[in-house]
Amino acid sequence: MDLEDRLRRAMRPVDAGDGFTDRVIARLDTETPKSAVPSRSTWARWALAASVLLAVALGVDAWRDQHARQALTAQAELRTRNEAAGRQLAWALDITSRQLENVHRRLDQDTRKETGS
Amino acid sequence: MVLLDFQARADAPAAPDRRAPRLPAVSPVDLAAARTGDRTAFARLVRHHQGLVFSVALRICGHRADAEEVAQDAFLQLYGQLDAVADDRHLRHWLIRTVSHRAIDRLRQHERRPQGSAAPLEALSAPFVDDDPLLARALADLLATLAGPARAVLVLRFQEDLDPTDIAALLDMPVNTVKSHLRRSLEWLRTAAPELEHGS
Repeated sequence: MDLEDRLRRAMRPVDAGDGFTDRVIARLDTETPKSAVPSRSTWARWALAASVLLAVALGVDAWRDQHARQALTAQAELRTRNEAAGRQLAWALDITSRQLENVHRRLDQDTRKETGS
Repeated sequence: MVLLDFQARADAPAAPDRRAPRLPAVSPVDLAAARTGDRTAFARLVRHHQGLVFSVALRICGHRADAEEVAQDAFLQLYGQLDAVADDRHLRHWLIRTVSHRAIDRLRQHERRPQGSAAPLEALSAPFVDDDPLLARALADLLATLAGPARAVLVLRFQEDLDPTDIAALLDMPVNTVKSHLRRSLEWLRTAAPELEHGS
């Protein structure tokens, strides 16, 4: 018989002995909580990670959206206030201009009366 | 990575396997049930593979008590990682890989202890099943001189009938190192016990 064949024959699997499985399960019971199940499967871990990333991305997007909307509202309010101020200024200038015109007219009339007399 | 490698191999189209399986495959139902925490199904998996795992551990450790503990540790580790195991073929590779590395580590721990390196020859000769006590003794002498990785190579080659490429992947060593271990071990055996080659 060839040496390698003799080695194969000599290294046939041997019996682990009576109760080996029971001893493994007993250690499992003492070293692992009964409620514990094997770790989450890979796809479940990836799904969880993807969900967290999606939630974070959606949150950031919503925050940016709200921030941009607030900035637009503030700009619109500022523009409205500026326009109102501009209108008020124009109105005030108009009144002043009319008053000055009245004064000028009266002065002109007074001057004409004095020179005429 | 090796796990993935085995996964890929398991998923690949079935190539003709020159190694006849020694046991029928574990039921996929048992594997699926064990993944959910069914300990009865897991016990059936353990019973199915315990001979393989214990034999590898025993022949690398050379000591029955160490082999028992190493084999149990491998199964406990398996319980926590069943999700990573695709099918029975993958399970068998996973177990061989895990128990081999654990047994080599156990042997290294013994070698670091001052009271002695190798297990006694009586303990080492026990794992061998042969009618010829000469062969059993020659094997024991050989194994007593080998470091853990070289023992593992010999065991995986002749107990599990794995080829050097598979052994290299399982033990994380270059194929040429595996071949070198095998060549040196066989040369040593032929020199130490030439009658083995041509004996009955």
